Amino acid sequence: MELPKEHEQPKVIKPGSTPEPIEAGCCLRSCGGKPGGMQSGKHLQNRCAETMAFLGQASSSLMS
Amino acid sequence: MKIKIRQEKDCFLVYLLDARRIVGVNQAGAAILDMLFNRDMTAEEISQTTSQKWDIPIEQARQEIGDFLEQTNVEVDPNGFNVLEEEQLVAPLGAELEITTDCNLRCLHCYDEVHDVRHMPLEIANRIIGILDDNGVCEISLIGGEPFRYPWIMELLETCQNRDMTINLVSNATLITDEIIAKLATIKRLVMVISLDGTQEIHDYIRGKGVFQKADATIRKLIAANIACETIFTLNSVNASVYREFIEYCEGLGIPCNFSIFKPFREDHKDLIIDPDKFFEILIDLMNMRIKKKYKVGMASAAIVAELLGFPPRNECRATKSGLVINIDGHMVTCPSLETAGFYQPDQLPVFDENFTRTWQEHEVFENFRHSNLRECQARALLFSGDVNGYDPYGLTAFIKYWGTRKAEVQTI
Repeated sequence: MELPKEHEQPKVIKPGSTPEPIEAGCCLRSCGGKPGGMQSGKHLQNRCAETMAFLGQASSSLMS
Repeated sequence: MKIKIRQEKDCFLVYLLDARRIVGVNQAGAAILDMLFNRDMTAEEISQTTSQKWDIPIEQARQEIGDFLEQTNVEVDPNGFNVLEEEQLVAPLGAELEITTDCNLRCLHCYDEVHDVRHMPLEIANRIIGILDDNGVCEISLIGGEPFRYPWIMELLETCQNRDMTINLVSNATLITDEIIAKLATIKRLVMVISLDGTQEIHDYIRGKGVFQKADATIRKLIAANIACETIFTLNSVNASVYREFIEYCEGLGIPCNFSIFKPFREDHKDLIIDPDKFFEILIDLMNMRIKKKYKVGMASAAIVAELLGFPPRNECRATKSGLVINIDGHMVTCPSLETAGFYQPDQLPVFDENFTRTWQEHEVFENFRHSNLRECQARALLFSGDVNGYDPYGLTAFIKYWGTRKAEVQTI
C-alpha cells in the first residue's frame, strides 16, 4: 500500500462503527452462522483493547 | 497485530484482524496504517517518511498522523456495529463455507432430512480459501453438518490461519477431543461457536440424550484452553421457556450467547414453530438484558433492534451486501435457507471461481436477492407465505404491529 504522490491529509472517511449494541447477524439455516454477539466475548474485547492501546501509544508518541 | 486493506468504491477498507473491526479511510490513511501494523514502522518513522515524500514540515506530518490515529482508535471500540457491513461492498467481507454435510446428531429442528455424507475435498476447500483471501475476504465461517466430521478440519484451519483469515467454527461440541482442543489452541483468530438449544433437559430432548453433558464438558475445556468460545441458541416453541436460564448458564461460563429463530423446513417441524408475539417478547427482553444488565447477548434481528432503538434502518442480515455462502458443491449461495427451502434450481446457482467477486456483484440470483426485501428475512417470508417478498411473521412489519399494540396496552394500564 503506497502513499499517494501528492500530499493528502489522512482521514477516516467511513466510520466503521456506531455506538449501537447490535451486529449484523446471520441466522443461517437453523443452528449457526455468523454470530451476532461476537464483539462481546472477552477475547475480542481484549484484542480490541490491545489494538486501541497500540494506536493510542502511537498517537501520543507524536505529541510528546 | 496485522491489518488487511482493500479498495472499496469510495474508500479503502481496513480490517483490523485481531480486533475484527473495520474502518473506511482514504489512501493516505490506508498507507499509514499499513506501515504501522504490517511493516512494523513507528509513528515517528512514518511521520518522517510522509514528511519527505510530500515535502511537508515534520511537525505537520506528526500532527496529521497523530490526529488520524486518534480517529482510527475510536473505530476500534467494540461496543458498536460495523456500518460498512451494511453497505454494498465490492466483495464480501465474510464468507461461510459448507465443508461437510455429515453430522453425528439428528436434532429435531435440523433442516436436513437426508443426512448424506459428503465432504468438500480438501484441495477444493484450500483453493476456495486462497481465492477468498486474494480478493480481500477477511472472515471465514466453517459450517456443516458437523465440522469435526470433516476429515481434514485441522489442515483446513491451518490454511485459514496461514491466509490470515479470522475464523468461526460452528460445532455441536460433541466430537472435540482433548487432542483436538490442544490443536485448536494453536490456531490464531479462531472463535468456536457452539450450538446449544437450552439447558440440559431441553437440549437433550432436541439433540439426544447425553448431548448437553458432552457439549458442556467440551465448552469448559475450550475455555480452560483459552480458546474464544460462544454459543448459539435457536429459539423454538420447545426451548422458549428456558432462554433466561440459558443466558445465566453462559454468564456463569463468561461466554456470549447468540439467539436466532427456528425456521421450519420439514413437515414434522410444525410443532417447533414459535409464536411470533412470544418471539418479540423474548427479543425485547434480550435487548434489555444486553443494554441494562450488560449480559453478553447477540441477536440476529438487526432490523428490529435498530427500529426499537430508534437508529437508522438496518437490513435483517448481511447476505449479498457483505456476505457470501459457498455450499458443499462449490456453488455461490445468496442465503442458505432459501437454497434449503428449494427456492433455487440446482443449476441456477453460479459456481465459485477466481471471478467470484464479479459474479457476486452481477449474477442475477444475487441481483434479484438485493432487489427483494432486505429489511426482512426472505427465507422466512418464503417458508411462511410462499413468496420471498411476502409476509415474514418475525420480521419488521410484524414487529411494528406487535409493538404498536404492546405500547397501547401499556398506556391503557
